[in-house]
Amino acid sequence: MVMDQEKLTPELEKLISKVKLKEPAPKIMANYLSEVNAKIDQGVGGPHFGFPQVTVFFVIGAALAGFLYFFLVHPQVQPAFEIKNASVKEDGIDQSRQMASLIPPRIQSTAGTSTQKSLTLEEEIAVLEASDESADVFGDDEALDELTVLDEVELSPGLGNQTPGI
Amino acid sequence: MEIPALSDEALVARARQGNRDAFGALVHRYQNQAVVIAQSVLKNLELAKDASQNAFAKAYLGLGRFREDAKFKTWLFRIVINEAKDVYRKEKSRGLFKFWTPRETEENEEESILEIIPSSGQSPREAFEAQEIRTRLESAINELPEREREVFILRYLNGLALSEVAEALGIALGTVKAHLAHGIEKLRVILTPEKMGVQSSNALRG
Repeated sequence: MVMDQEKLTPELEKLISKVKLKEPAPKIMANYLSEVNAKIDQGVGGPHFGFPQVTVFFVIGAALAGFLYFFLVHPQVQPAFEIKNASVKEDGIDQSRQMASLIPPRIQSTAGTSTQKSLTLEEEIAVLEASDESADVFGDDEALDELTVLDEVELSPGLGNQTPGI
Repeated sequence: MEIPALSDEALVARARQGNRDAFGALVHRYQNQAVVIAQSVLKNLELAKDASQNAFAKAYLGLGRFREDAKFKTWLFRIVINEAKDVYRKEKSRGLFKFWTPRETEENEEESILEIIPSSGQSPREAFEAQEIRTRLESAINELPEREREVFILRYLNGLALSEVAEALGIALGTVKAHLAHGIEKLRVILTPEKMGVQSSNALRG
């Protein structure tokens, strides 16, 4: 139990009696009351920006940054599975390109024409005429075959131009 | 009756009705003690002045919550102590960012809270020894834990009654007595005549 132990010892009492709390100088306290009144008028401290305010500022800032990321930046970034599918499609395109390289140029041009834009009537006629002319010049395979057969027939023995006496 | 001559209770009653002059009289009555109490926490006069002014402003704005059966003085001192502690915490956290500040500068900012009571016919030697006593006593008080230091200063340096100390700190009377007992015991150990120096102890005996 603490009984009268809160009282000073004679030595301490003697020490304490020699000192006192230092009072502020009158010069420092000159405008004390007017400054108190000013603080009362502005609501003590006025606007304050301390540690709690800084913390709230950063938390709100981080939340806003997260919000912006998920709703503006994130949709533009493709998920992993979509990237995988895209690479598979690209592989397919490469394979089809390789196949296309193996197809003869003529077939390619024929295939290419199917993918071209639809032509006007005059253009189509012009294209057809041009193809006919080219066919006349170079001939198609069937026509060439027929001509070859006919030549052979004409040249074969017993079919016309046979030399008499052979 | 002129305003400065009125009792605390009468001034508080008028201040509650918005009388700034009545509150001004209360400020004038307790401003020095308020600054001294704040300074004992903050160890800096400018900060102590600012904190005590904040405390007065808060007291005025909070007069509606003041219980009439309580003492204005102790209620005010409680606000002053809390405000000073608040300022101390803020300054401490602000100090974390002042890592470039030399430590010596910070130590120099700590101001003395005690002064020697001047006595007539004091020789230069006695004056020197009195200064020595003041320094030792102040450093001994600063070594005490926070609560014991507060209780000791309010009781023996501010001259408050034990019940007033309890009210000002918002703790039980028994707790105040216990803190005082522990504080005095520690001071007694710290301030032994051997540690105080023979010359100073002789001066004390004299």
